[in-house]
Amino acid sequence: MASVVAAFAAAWIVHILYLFTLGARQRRLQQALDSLDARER
Amino acid sequence: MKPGVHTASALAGRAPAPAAAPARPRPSAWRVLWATARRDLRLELRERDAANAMLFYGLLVIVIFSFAFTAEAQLTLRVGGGLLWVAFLFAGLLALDRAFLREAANDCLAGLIASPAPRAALLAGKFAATAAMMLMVEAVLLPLFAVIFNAPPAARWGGIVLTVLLGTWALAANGTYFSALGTHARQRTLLLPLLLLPVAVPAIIAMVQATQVFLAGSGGAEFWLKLLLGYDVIFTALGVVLADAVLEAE
Amino acid sequence: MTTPTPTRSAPLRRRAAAGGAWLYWWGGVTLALLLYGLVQALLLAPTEATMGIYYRIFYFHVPAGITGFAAFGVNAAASLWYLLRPRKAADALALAAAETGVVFLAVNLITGPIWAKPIWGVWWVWDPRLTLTLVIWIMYVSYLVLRQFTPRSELQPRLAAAYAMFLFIAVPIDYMAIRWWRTQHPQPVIFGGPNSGLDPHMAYALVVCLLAFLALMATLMRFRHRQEMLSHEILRRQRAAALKES
Repeated sequence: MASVVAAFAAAWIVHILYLFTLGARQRRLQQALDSLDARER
Repeated sequence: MKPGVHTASALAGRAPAPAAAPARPRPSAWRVLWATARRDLRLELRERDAANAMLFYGLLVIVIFSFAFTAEAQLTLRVGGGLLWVAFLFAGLLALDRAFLREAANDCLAGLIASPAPRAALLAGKFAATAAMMLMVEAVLLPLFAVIFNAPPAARWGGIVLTVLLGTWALAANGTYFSALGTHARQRTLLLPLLLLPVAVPAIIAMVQATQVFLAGSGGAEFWLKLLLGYDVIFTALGVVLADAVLEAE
Repeated sequence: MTTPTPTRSAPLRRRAAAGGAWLYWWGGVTLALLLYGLVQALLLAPTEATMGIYYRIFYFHVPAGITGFAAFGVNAAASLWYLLRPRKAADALALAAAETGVVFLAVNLITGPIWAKPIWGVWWVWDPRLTLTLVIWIMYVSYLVLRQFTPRSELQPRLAAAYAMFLFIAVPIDYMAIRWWRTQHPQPVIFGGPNSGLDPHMAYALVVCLLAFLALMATLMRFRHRQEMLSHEILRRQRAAALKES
């Protein structure tokens, strides 16, 4: 049982870590967009 | 020695015969290949830094292996092929890294690319020079290896030499291409092994296994030699087809 | 410029940048499929006779592997597309596909040993399929490293696309070399494989999980693709703004 749980947890952790990197990049892009908006205004 | 034969302009076929320049705007691929290979080899042999470093490095790898695993004939029978190729690979990476490093100075690469020489021929010339360098170093390292690791008496040296030729072709063909690919990267020296080794995995398996078979004097090398030859032909063709992708002005 | 417009348009822009309605629809469908697959795999599918509960790891392991290889196929197609017709969209797709492929194959490679330990008694064996998967994973990590190390320019996508072609061509040769290499040596414990006489309910659960993973791959890939296109757009606007100020 423990190894089944470990495998499922590992699979989810890898995906969630990737989602975090995507989220971080999205925040960076958003900041760049916002600062561009401010600059163009 | 013809004047200016090792300059970039010689590659375009202009310097040796200035009068012929307007008549021949695009030099033949073989001439470019030959000129590039000759220039690179001449420069390498004049300095001899790289050759010495490669030799010494390969020797060090072999010696350190003999400390790490006690060098008995029994061991050579089992893993000799692997040890030999790790030494060749490390020494070869030094030469491959230099293939395009020289052109980075003074924007030499931009000059080469701007010349009307076919890019595939430039790449092939670099390949020929690098492969020749690697083979020269390997020709010295192989007998040293045979002595230090007590090569088995059943070893078939003709087969091993053939494997070394085909294996060096594989490493040099891909290595030259990736060396060109890495010229634009930061940390290019770090990048080359990272690019080369994963793609070279099937070739490394084949060369190690074939060498092992010939060292032990057993049978079954044909498949590995055929695989290695197939790998060489396929990746050389791919490098020629995709030469424009790495050697083009920004 | 009036003051109320930026405050009102900011959330709208945020949504548009993140993927808009598409992300919510696909994300929702993916999440539902994943949860349904999870219930099927962990609770509803019957327990396998010889391997017991451990076989349930397959419901994650196998779809992750198939999805990872599908993503690498997309990478090869997009790279070829870029070499034939250099478009930013093709390059962004190649990058997105390589990244998602590495993630899914990482899941495959991590769950494999967790299953192998109780069944085979060892974490890892140099069986042809395992070796090939590991080598291909390493190859595409190299691809991402190349992209990381090459400065962003017109040249970078072309170099990456050329390298992707080398990787794709190497896969079948790898397959031949590794299979021949391993069959010369004694094989490790051989099991029947999940496809031999698969129970219909098990097959159904496996298909559900596979669809869920493919949907997740599409979502992640699309999201990453949009990010890449957005960053191109930001770069273009930054250059234009800098030009206007100078």
